[in-house]
Amino acid sequence: MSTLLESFNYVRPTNLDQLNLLVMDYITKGYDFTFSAGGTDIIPRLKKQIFNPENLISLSGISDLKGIEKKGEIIIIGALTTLDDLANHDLIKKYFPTLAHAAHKVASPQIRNRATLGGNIMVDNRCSYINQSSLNRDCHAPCFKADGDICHIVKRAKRGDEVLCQARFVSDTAPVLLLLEANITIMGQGGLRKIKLNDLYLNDGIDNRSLRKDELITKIEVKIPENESLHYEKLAIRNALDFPSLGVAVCLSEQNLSVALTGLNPRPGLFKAKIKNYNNFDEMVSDICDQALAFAVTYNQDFFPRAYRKSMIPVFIKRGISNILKEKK
Amino acid sequence: MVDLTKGYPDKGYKIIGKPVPLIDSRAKVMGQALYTDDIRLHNPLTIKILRSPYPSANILSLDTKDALALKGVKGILTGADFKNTFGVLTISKDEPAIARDVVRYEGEPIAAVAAETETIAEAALKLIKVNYEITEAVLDSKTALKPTDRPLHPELNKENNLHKKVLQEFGDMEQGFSEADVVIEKRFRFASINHGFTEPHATQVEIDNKGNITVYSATQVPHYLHMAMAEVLEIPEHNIRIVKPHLGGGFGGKSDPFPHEMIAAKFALDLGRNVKIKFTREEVFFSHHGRHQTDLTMKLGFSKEKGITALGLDTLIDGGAYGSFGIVTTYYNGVLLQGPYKIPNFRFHVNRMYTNKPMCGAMRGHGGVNPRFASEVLLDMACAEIGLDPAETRLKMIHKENTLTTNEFRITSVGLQNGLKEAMRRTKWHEKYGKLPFGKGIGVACGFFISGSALPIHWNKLPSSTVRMTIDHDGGVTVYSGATDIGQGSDTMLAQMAAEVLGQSLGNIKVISADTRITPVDLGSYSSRVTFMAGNASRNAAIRMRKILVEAACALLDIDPPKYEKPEKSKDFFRQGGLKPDFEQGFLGPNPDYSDGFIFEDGLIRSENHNQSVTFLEAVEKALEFEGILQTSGTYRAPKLGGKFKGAGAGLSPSYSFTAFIVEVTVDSETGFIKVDKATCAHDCGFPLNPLAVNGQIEGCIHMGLGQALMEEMVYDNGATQNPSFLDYKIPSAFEQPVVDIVPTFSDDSEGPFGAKEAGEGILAPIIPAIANAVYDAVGIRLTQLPMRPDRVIFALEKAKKDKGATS
Amino acid sequence: MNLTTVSVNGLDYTKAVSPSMTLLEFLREELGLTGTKNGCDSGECGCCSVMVDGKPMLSCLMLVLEAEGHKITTIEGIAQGNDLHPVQEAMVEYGAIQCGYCTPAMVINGVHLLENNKNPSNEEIKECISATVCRCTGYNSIERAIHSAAAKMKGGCHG
Ligand SMILES: Cc1cc2nc3c(=O)[nH]c(=O)nc-3n(C[C@H](O)[C@H](O)[C@H](O)COP(=O)(O)OP(=O)(O)OC[C@H]3O[C@@H](n4cnc5c(N)ncnc54)[C@H](O)[C@@H]3O)c2cc1C
Ligand code: SF4
Repeated sequence: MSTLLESFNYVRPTNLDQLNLLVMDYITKGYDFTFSAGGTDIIPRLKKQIFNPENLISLSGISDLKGIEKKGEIIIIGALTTLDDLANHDLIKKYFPTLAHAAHKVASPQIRNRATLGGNIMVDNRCSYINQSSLNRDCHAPCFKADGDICHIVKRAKRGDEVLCQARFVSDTAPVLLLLEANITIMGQGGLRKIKLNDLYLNDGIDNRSLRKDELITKIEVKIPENESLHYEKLAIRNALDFPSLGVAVCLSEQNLSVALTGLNPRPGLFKAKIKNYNNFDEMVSDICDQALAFAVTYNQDFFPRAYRKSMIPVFIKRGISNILKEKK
Repeated sequence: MVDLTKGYPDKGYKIIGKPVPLIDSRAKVMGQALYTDDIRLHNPLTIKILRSPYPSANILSLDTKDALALKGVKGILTGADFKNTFGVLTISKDEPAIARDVVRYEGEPIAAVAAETETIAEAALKLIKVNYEITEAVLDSKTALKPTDRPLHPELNKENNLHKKVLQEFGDMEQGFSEADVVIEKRFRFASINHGFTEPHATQVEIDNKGNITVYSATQVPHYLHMAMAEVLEIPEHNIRIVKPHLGGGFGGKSDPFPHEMIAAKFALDLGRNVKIKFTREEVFFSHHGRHQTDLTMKLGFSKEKGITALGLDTLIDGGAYGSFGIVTTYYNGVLLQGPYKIPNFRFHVNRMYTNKPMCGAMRGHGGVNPRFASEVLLDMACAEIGLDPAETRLKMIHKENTLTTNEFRITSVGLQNGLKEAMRRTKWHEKYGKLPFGKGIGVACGFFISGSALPIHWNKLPSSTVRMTIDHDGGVTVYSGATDIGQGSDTMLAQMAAEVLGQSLGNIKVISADTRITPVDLGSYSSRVTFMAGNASRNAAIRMRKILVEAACALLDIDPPKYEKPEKSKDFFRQGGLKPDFEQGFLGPNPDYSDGFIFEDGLIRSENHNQSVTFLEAVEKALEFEGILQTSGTYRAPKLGGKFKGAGAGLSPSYSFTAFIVEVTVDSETGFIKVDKATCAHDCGFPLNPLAVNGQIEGCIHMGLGQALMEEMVYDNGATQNPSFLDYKIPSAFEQPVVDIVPTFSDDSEGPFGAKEAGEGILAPIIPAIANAVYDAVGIRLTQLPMRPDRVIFALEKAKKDKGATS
Repeated sequence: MNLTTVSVNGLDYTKAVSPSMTLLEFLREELGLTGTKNGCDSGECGCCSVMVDGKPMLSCLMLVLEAEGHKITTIEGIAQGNDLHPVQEAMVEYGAIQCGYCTPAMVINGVHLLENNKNPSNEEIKECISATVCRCTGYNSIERAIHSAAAKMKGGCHG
């Protein structure tokens, strides 16, 4: 019930070198630590005592991680860029209006002024049990995500299952970035590496990100699309504040149709179809809808019942497509 | 700014009827207004409450040793420390400050810690060891009806978990249904909803060296809290002073005495220290006291010629673990259907059940909201079936002035007809209803509410409200009232009364309210009673003051004082309260007449006959010569009302408000989303004392009704609150709020202060069925379950499609 | 305990604080600036909005140590002495204040909007107050107040 934070040690390095040294030090000493960017995801979890790190390393002082620039046909977004800056940046509005729109759909204006893009693609998976009040959690045995031995959503889940925890992925920006085939740069003790955003995600609700403890995201790179058009639609009962009960991004070009989903499974969904493989457009659309439906695992852990959320997937995909077609005209 | 007085009669008042900002707005807009948690007492202890994680359990043992041993912990209270239970109603004092032996809901207080800091208090909670024996919980009201050998409150009911049963029947139901052209029966289901006020509960207690305590608390009912606290703590009331600081919203959710208030006071007394407690948002949801979850079956008989011929309902309301206002709620579920239309044959049967869930109590529109939804939807269905226009039909059926309802409510002023007509004109009702394209719809519904309960909760012969008024030697006027400004603006209303009668500017009136040491008893802010009752009392105090000043002015001018008429009881039944101005005993009745041949304005008191004047200050000084101090009291006493049958007192009010809504919606038939585009409201609150405040109440009610209609619901899983946060409990945002058009609507209530009636609650109920009726007009489905979530819309649309397929 | 210096309403305050202290706790408990309200403590009600370098943020979701080096403006820093900001004036005039608990946050968000947007649309105004819960007014009067303040500010009545 507490909203008091447990105490922790707080450090705020001011450049990447300092950060590297610090992380190295903590790793060698075996200290427990967590990064915080805007803190809008992590602070509520700390308050609800979902986890209690000994050390909080704040990235907010590292200006090298902020900002948006254009290099040739690539737009590079610093991981610490706030969602508000992202949504209002001229380059983003010009080349990736749908990304601006999705960023704009996150949480609330006050939160977007603080929340970062890095934090958003790294946002912790949610579930109606783990994101509960501590009092409610107290009356249940701890679940897998809380280092326990049971899942309250999928009662029959047991250790050894392929997917242990079904806490759902909720980032609003990730589906759009996935369709834009964004790459992310990861910095760790082993230096830098670059991966596709899609490779960041694992199908595990406990921690769905394939990062090592010492690794963090420094930037997100997106190529300016040539002839693709995108659309993002978010299912939420209110037009503000709510996490996506379902989020559907659609990307359409002369040759391809692709769809990315959020708000459902532990990892985002990503489906592609090549127009030339189908007899006609409608057939392709219905195939991609089928793929999405087959992927979607919904549970009653949201405002909307599972069946409804699922049934909205094809509706949103078709809406996305018709919106794109309408705009093209 | 548009002229908000447009459309209302000009009665020549200077301050009454004018749009004036609430008098505490400036302090609030600067962040200077102090709410309970903003007060800084000297070195207070912080209190934290340990709450039960189980909805139903026996407390086998409770070990507080380790917690007490923690450095900085000053005291721990458990159920054993409180002998007396309490409750807002004398007839159901069933709630302990801390659970003793038995836990009845998840979140119930098990122990409380007072410590030097919040961190220590938190840490101490974790050291308290409780050994629970988990027992089978009663999770819904249907199960609660079944016989059991382990009821929640065996002291009240040994058989099952029925808390209160009310059955009233008027007329002849069978006869009524036989006269009907259509008889429709439907089941409805309503989720429990929360008040969602923004300021969480908070209490601070200051103790002096004689052991007297001052309790600063976010409460709507200082008076009831005062009484309950004296009883629970077993100390005289005069040792307790209750003060209500600025309050961040109540809506009924702060109208009970609360466990934390008892706990805080007890700690202060036991430890001799100042203490404070503030709830987290979760704790607010765990404490709840919101609108009852309701299952209701209603049957309507309707005749083309006669209108409603019979209405019957069977209702089960889930009260949760304790009584709260529940007995009143039980009655209100029936009696508040007695308007706005005549129902010749009427029967209602309501059971309130105890269950192992957070208790439900009073919430804006108390008890009347859910049955109103049902009746207005059924009425709409009847009209659709017979092919009548639902707006015209309602217009014809609205009570005429000065009638008696079937259950003997006295209906006096009614001004809704003109308002509804104007709303129909403005919305182009006839051009739209039934004629809009698929997905767009328009709907209508009406409602009715009390202007204060005529009978007090604790039976006594005192006036319903009393106001004290003083004038300083320099002419400053102070109004002292026990009425509780919870943000609705009652302080402003009290000041307006005094300013108008005494010809003063609003700035010259100070209001001191809701402080039991200083202000006279007022029963509190609930049942929309404050404007009618405290308003009349303030007006009457001012009229008495005026008489003193007029006499002083006459002495100064050397003229004869006016002759005041003796009060005389009106013979007219509908004006039983209608006494002539009574300057000696308190003015009881009709307005506007306090004309005494003098004009109070521009700092002068002028005799109209003699065209001579003295300054207000001269009169004050002269009056002080007689009296030493200038002080009056004014009272309001509700007239004797009602029938002679059992339960006749429920819902009696000196006057009733009437509301109509026309709502326009867009329904997305693919996603099931309902968007309320526009709400046009006609609300008869008599004469609006302050159109700015009245409009604010209307828009606020629309917001809250919208929430209940479309998204708000308390979700429980095995008795555990699933959505105790503003993220998961969905309160509509600015985006969802519709465009609002307010149609000036009025009547002249001869007993309300300057003709005013209720404007805070009744508005809420009809917006919800108006939305449902508009959804029917848009896509042809009848929704019978709240909230009308998109998935329910889709389900209903699919069912309608199937049914259609089956018949064609 | 960490020693920190935070600039609030133009004054620097240096205090020893626990690293887990939020900016909201700091403002209310350490500085006694109780105009900033705590309605949910988890970023869901908006009542704790303050400006950080001129942008509204939620002080309950921000550690006070994160505020170091930034300029914090609370409701207490909006009016110039007795002169209300046009947004505050309009809120009073339009009856946009009932219980007043969300009012400081509404002012902070409204002031920010108008300082960055001279001609806000209805949609932009709704957006700016969309994550601050007001349970009393239904938001309509707050929207009207912000509209009118925008008009007034364009007229150049206030700096
Ligand atoms: C009321 C409320 C509503 C919300 N609604 C939404 C919503 O609608 N949609 C949505 O997507 N989110 C929502 N959020 C969640 C959150 O605000 C956003 O996802 C936000 O973008 C997170 O960014 P942050 O910088 O604040 O993250 P932080 O809280 O700082 O971090 C989040 C996680 O990412 C990690 N992290 C952060 N930056 C990096 C990095 N550079 N490299 C590696 N790891 C990193 C952190 O360790 C942490 O685990 C909501 C939050 C609240 C409180
Ligand atoms: S889905 Fe994951 S977080 Fe939710 S209860 Fe199961 S294990 Fe815990």
